Amino acid sequence: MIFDKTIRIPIDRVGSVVGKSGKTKLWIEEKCHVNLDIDSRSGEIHISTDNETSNPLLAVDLIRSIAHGFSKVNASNLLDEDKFLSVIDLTQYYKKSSHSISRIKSRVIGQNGKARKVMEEISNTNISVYGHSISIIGSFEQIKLVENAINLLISGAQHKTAYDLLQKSRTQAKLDRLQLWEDGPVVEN
Amino acid sequence: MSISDVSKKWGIVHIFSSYNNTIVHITDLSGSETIAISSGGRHVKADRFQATPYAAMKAAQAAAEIARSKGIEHLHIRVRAVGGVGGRTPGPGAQAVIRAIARGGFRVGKIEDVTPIPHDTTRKAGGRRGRRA
Repeated sequence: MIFDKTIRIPIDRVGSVVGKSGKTKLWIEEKCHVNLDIDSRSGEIHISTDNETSNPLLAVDLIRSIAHGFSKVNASNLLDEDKFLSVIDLTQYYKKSSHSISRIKSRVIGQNGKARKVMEEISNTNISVYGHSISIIGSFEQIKLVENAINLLISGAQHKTAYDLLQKSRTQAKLDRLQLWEDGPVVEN
Repeated sequence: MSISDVSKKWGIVHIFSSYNNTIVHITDLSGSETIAISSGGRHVKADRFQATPYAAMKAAQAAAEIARSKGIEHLHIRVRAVGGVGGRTPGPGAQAVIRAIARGGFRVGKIEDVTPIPHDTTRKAGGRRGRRA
């Protein structure tokens, strides 16, 4: 398959996409069978391939996730076929330069990253807060849930309300699995 | 003209992937003759499952089945997100469709992103004070 696309990432994330002596770049190229052409001045990345077995959309997602603040280790979760990247743009809620954006970001992160950690653990996802965006890596259902929880935080709910929402749906999912297999084994999440 | 003459084995898959649904549309190379069409909403009961990768996969398989029976073997892919004032990145369904098509035994030619990007757009919904959650 032939594929050509140029995406632009923040200049301070170019280093993370390239990695130590080009390690991360090489890793993406090997995993997705693509060629990356990175311009570190402008932050433009040209993705191209003519390999039959390539997976160019995955490469785009990997680069986007690293550009949105994920580490290489967390981004590698995207290699799992049913995990996706979702980005919540905070500029749709408040003006770009507004004080409210940093307020929302700090509410999602919490003291010493506590809120983010708790949400990641309950919902089994990876969350990153960077620039004007909050990004989530997880399965389709998990992403929907975390988006709802973050929307609650944005609209001013207490942290506990958001945690409760996640916890409740996790218990519900567990019950559903039980019902599906009746008294079969339950796979721990 | 018989179908095999028209298609000459090549076709185009138009994938429209939004956060609400995924539409898989297979046409001939001109893009004006429909060969097969299916959507995520046809394969699930509840509205909230329309955009899931599972529904997208089902839709792709259904469309691919019809296309194969009409003699298509090679496919170009055109992925489209909502575009305009909406999102520029394809939803989770797009990848599932491409995977299903590649595994369905089709040779894939070119993958293109045809999301409409405005040079000058209408105002985004939400008003001056931004979207209120």
